[in-house]
Amino acid sequence: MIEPLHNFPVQKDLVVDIGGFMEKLVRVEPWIIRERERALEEGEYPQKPEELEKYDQFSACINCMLCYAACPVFAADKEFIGPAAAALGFRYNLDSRDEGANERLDLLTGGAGAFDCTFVGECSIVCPKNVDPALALQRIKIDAAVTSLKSIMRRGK
Amino acid sequence: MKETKSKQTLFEAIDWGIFSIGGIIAAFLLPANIIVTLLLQQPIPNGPLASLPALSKLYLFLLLVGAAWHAMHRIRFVLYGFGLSRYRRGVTAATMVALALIILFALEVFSSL
Amino acid sequence: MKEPSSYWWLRRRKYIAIFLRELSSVFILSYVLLYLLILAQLESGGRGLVSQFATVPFVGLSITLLTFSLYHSVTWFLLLPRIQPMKIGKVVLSGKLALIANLGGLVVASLLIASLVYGVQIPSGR
Repeated sequence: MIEPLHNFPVQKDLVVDIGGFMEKLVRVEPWIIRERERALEEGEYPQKPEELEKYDQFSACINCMLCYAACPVFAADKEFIGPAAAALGFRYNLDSRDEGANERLDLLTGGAGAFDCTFVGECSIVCPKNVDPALALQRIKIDAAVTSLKSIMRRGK
Repeated sequence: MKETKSKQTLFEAIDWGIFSIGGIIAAFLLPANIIVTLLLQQPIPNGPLASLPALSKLYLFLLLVGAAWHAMHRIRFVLYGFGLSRYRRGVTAATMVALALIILFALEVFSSL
Repeated sequence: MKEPSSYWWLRRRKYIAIFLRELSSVFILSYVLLYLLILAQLESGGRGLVSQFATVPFVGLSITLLTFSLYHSVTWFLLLPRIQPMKIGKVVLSGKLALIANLGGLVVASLLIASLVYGVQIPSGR
């Protein structure tokens, strides 16, 4: 049976409105954040193959939105940040050239963020590029928990 | 660089952390407890560990509170799944209050045993 | 624009299995409350709840609680390796093997609790 993508408003026939999805992609600040940008003369930001390896799988997303169509949390709450946006944000947190992980973590977990995920896991199963966004979401939760614990211990001193 | 940890993130992260620990506790320890206490009809600890009452009470307290925290967290998100996520603060407050009451009940039971 | 139904997934088996997994939390919470009530009652000298232990409805309830507790355990053991694969030395265990290993741990933990905490005599087959 052919039907329009689940969880998105249908404009007509098989065409759905993807505006909400596009907005979420931008919201996670998917670009290299630096404390201080290098001047052009200082050259490029070098990256070793092992460093690329860390985020490579999460950069494979083709924005097909099958993960959003499969997610029951998104079905119930269209504000949920969702798998693809979370994986995209996480990709930048893992990038050795990026220095914005802390602020991005707040963006990823705030509002109806990563903690709304209940690890149904269907997103990773339907992903045609093996991005494994479910893994990204759980690792975001772990990162947030670890940095929260650290910041509490720091305040205690 | 903004080193913010918003209050919401902090709260959710700690809640999730305890939820995870509670999940491990419940997964490994709860089935045996149900079998022994209900099906084998022996709710009172009577083994070697019971000769150290503080230890067996602590064990039961951690088991029950861990399992309760895990369950209550899941219930909160089931409620979100049924559309109540727009009343996020209210649902969170209600489930945390209910959890607090259960913890107080457990404290009361184990302190006077 | 037509807003689609939010609960299409309630009709798919995979999602129902996960919904039941989430629902197990209600039964886990029920057991916690039930056990606390039993302890509180015994402490004050009452035996109302304990006297029901052998009745059919109570056994039915106990089996239901146990079933959902085990379902919680199994689904938990299936989830965790997807975040952190289980290893024995350098060998990564497959999902099924990791489940079996964890179930083994569950059995060992159960025997330990039953005997050490509750004093249940574990028959040694002699």
